[in-house]
Amino acid sequence: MKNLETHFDTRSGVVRAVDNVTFSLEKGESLGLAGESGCGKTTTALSIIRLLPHNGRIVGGSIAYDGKDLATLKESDIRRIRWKHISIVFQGAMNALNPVRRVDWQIAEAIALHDHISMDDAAGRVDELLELVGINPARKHDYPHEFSGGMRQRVMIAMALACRPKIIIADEPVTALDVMIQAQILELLSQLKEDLDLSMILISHDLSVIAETCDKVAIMYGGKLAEFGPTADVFKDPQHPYTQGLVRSFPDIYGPRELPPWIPGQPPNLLDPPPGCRFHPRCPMAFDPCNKVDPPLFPIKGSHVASCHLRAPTR
Amino acid sequence: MERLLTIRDLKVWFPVRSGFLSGLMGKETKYVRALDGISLAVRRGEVFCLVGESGCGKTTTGKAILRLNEPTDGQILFDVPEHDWKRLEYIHERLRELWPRVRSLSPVDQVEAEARVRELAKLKKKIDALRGGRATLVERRLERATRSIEILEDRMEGLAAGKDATIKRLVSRLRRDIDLLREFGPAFRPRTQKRLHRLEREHKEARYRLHRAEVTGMRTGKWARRARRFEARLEGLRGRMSPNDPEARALLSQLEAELEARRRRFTDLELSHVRGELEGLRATREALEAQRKARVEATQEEFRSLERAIADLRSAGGVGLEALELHGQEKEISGRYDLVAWWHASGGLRGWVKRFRLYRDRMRKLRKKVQIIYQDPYESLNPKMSIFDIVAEPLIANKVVSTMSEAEAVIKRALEDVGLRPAEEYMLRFPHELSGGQRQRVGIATALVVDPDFIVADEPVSMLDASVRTEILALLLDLKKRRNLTYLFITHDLGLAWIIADRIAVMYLGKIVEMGDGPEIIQNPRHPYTKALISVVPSPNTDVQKNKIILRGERPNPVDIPAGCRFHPRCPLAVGVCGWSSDEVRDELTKLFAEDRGSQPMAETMGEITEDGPFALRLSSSDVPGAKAYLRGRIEALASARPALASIRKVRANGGQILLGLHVPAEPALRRIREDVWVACHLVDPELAAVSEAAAEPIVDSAAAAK
Repeated sequence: MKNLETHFDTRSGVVRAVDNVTFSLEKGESLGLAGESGCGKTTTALSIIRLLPHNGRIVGGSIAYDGKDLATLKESDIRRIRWKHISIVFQGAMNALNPVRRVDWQIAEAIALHDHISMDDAAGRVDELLELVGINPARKHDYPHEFSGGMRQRVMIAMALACRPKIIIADEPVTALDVMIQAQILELLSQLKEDLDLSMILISHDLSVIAETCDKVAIMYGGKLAEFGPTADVFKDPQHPYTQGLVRSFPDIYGPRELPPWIPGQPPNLLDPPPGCRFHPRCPMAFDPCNKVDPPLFPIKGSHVASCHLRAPTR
Repeated sequence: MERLLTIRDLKVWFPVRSGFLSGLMGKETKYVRALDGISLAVRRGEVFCLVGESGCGKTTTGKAILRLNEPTDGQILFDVPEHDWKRLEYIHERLRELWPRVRSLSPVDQVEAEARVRELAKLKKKIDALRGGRATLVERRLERATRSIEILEDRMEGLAAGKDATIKRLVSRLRRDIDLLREFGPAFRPRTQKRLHRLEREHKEARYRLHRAEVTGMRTGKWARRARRFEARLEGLRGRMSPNDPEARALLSQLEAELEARRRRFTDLELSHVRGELEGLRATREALEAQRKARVEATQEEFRSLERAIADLRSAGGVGLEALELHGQEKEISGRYDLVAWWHASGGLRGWVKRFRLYRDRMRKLRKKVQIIYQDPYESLNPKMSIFDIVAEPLIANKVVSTMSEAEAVIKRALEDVGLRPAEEYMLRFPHELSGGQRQRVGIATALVVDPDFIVADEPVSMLDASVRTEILALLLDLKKRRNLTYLFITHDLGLAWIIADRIAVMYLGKIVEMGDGPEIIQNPRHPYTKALISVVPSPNTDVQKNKIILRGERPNPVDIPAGCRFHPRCPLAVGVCGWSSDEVRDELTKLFAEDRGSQPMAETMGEITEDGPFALRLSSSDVPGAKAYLRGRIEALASARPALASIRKVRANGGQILLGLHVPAEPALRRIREDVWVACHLVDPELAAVSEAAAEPIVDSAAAAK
């Protein structure tokens, strides 16, 4: 992904939800997208498979996948990529399933639509998929309300896997779940990644989840990429003041027994973002150029980059 | 530290709605056992965390405390004074001692004891009456007479000083005339007054019109003329109303003389009247006092004889009587504060009305002291109400304030306390205009506004963005310090509990499995469930190497809870005694036979497995002795890996069949393991002995040295 820009047209103006985001995902790798709510994580993901709502549009940048540019591809072509190459597990498993249809029908529908086969043929593959995600196939005739939250999340994953994609995007897959179920789902995801040789993009506001499951992490703030790099590097040695604050603000059961410090202030209004670095009004280390010049991504070490004037090579 | 809230054996069962037909057929109603007997104590000023998966009964506990759920059984004691506590504890202790002996009494003795208890209650009631719990008729009349005398004496004083209200009222008409004369002179008539007002009004209007015409540059002539005219008329009228008029003065003095005469006449009449009445009353009082004196002797004699009778009954009653009586006392004490027992106290329509009143009054009192913060700030605030209305609601419902201006001051303080400053700016906003963190602050303000002692915080931060969480937590802890609050903090996040909890209770399927000192439990968990929960908490620290214990499956249905330890089907450490039932063992055996079919020749001879009661199995086999040996061998070999097999206690041959006896399941009780750590698990041994020995030794030594 290079310099992706996605805008929303709203009545009060243009919201620059994703602004100049650049990152890369290798085969078999998992990438975590983290940040506060409203920082553009989900929009970035939806831009990749071009499922933006009607008022959203990609205005710049490119998303290169397998020799094609997804940002400019025709709708009919993107349909061929969607689900068969890149699929998504939507946020909130509770609401993403149709409550009046049986689970097996819903999975078969996804297969039938994308593989252009009949529903009957598709139904044959449902058992195999359910087994893959750890649900007893005997329960495939149940309705979604008969499943627990964790099982519904598993069904959503089964649907995403229906057409054997290369990349799977999981949007807050464990947010509303209990810790034990959360652990089960995360284990399942990494297992599937290994077994099926998938690449994965995991979106979460919970840094601890990303720290435990992802190889690389992209921290977003106010629609922009604040920091990007291998998970261990970013978490151990965060370079952007926002990442530093965010990492420190998580309670750690293995850490000291005290309330962690938090980042004061509110996230920026994307209708009217502050000039220069978007984080400077909340930044404890803001200095002269921060409120005028928007910092580019400065390389730190290897693939680790951070968008902060403090990391400029001239300093 | 002082206990603020104690829950004893609380049960909340929700009936599962069954069909009309099955109801008619007399089918048994099933219950969702959301809470199945939990006991805990929260001390004043601490943060008590309830943790567990969803559906383990955390929220049900919180709501039962506020009586938003109807408890099925148990006690919730809130803010019971210390001395009552001690009495209750003593009674409990004594009952525990007595109970085995009471049970050995014959039914005849029991019946007799009950009759004696009734007799005792009757005697006690009489004593209460004599003690003055209920005043006698004479006393009541005496009291009334004394009160009347006091009132009349006051009245007499007032009359003598000319301050009596009745007299004042009687002459008030004249008084008013005089006052008016003083102010306006003789020209005063109601019609004149009215004219004056009209003229004033018209004058004002004319001047306003004139002013407006001048400003807008229109013609002013007409209004200037009118204004002048009205002014002249007003002056004339006011001039005629001068109080210095000689004619008016004469009239005034005449009226004043009349007033004085009238007042004297009234006063004299009233005084003689009052005096007569007072004398009569004084005589009555003396008579009544004499009567009472005569009674006292007799009463004291009766009192003594009653006390003697009670003492006799008690000494003759023995164990049964004492136990029954203590039981009654216990009810009496806990009934005053117990939020569950009184609900089940009485029946009938009258009982219902009484209960309803009691409920309303108690709830009102209670909800001023206990408040709740809800989980989801996006759904718990009414989108149609402004922040002011939302925060004002508990004030109005609990009748904390009487006027709106008072309410405004309280609300302003609450909003500023939770960091919504300036409060005026937020008061008139609506929930959709606030961010998630700000909404939760409003939720906290709503709980705080009635100034409670105890707050049930039901996952207050789990719906919030991770970066806002700490901010809200810091606010909650700060408020706790400033307002001396106690929290029951419900959360599924152990990382959070680690930071804020003074004490923790881990719940699983309606039971507490581990409870005690917060840091101790997190750092050194003893129950397998707690161990698993703690091992899966994600950490932002990438260096931590963890051995995750991921439990398989989901929690069982709370309608039919597994026998024995309710955690055993998912427990990675379960052993034979944990409570395997016959169908679980049967499944395990069937699986074993299927696996062994190739390698073990005996497996093929095994016939059908049938259940023989909940904890016994029956196996048919063509070669009974061989099968017995095979089973014994396999069970011994596999016991540690397959705990369900280890629960087979006996393998016995019985006429062509093999009988398998299982361990009878026992639910592990919550036992004290060491100072402030309770665990409910068969595998955990008390460390208590070691700890108390270690603590006891130096004390003994020093005592010996002192000698």
